[in-house]
Amino acid sequence: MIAPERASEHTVRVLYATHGAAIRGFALRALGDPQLAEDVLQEVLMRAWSRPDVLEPDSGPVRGWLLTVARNVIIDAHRRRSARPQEVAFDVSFEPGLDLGELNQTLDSLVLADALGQLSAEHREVLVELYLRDRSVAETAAVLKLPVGTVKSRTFYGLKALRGQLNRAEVLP
Amino acid sequence: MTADHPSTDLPLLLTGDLTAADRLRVQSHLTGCSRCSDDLADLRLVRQHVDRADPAQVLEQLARDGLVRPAAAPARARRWLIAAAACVVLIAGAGVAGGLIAEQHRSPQAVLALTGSGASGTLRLTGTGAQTRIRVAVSGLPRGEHCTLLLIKKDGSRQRVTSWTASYAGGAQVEAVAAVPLDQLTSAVVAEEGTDVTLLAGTLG
Repeated sequence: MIAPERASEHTVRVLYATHGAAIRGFALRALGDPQLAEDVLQEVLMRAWSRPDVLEPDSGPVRGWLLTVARNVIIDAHRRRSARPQEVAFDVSFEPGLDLGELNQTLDSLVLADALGQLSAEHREVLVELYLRDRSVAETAAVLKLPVGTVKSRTFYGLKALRGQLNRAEVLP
Repeated sequence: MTADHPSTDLPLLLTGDLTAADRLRVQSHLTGCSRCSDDLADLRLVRQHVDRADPAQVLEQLARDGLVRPAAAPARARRWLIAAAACVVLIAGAGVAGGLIAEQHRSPQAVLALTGSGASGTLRLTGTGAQTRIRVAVSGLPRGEHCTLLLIKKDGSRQRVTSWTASYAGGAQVEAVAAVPLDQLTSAVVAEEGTDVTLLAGTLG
């Protein structure tokens, strides 16, 4: 019998150090409870430990995958709690509703931040000004002290690169 | 612009930041250039993801990662969303929906309702001569379902057009171009990728 392949303990430690805060923050925002958020983080790391293939350096943005797993863990935890309310009766003060729309928006936001983080600084800064700070091309050119043509070119190639990153994070068709 | 392709104008077309003359020039080019049409479809997908995100959260995370300088949160009503809304109003006023304005005026169109068990959607078809441009919008699919779009022609043959994975919420918005004239199509099926089990289907009226 062949033992299932696992990620090394070192890899999981690096994951925790690199992405732990983002995953914990995501879970805390959704669940509102630090202990539950920590439980979600532990579960995500356990699942990552059993999937060494997605942790390879060439397998794409890891944080996007981890956050997607975290989202599913959060929903599962919420469903379990809703199905068995008696098990949480000891803590009647904590029964937050789960806003799926808000959860998905947070996930999309964090995955987008991760994908932008993989881009070159030149591409990222243009996309940030245009789409996150809502500046026009002319305003972006002025802020970044670039010719308008350069902004347009970096926008096109930046979006193409972003598409590649989102694709690798398995969030685009 | 790269060589003869207006690539760098495509993001501006999406945001409504081209002049009327430039918009017509780019739209005219798009009707005959599959490369740029594909690029535009790619950019739309990225923009849809960006639209779903909260700019303040993205900036906050990027700042936390040391990748951007901290700045005031952006206004919620984005400039280009206003431009997009204006575009929708113009299109609705012309009695058509979706797509590029220039295409709307000179291309035959059809809308096909897709129905299935717990899922629904629409297929917007725009004839462009020997090809048909397709926009799929579906919801209620199983989360993460791998789907494929099949077009059924008058001679009964099927053409596989594109594939995608349903989002977390079970939805998808996909654009593609099929090498089939619009007047040759009778119906469409969204099937499970690999098994071709029908998830949604619809017939042209």
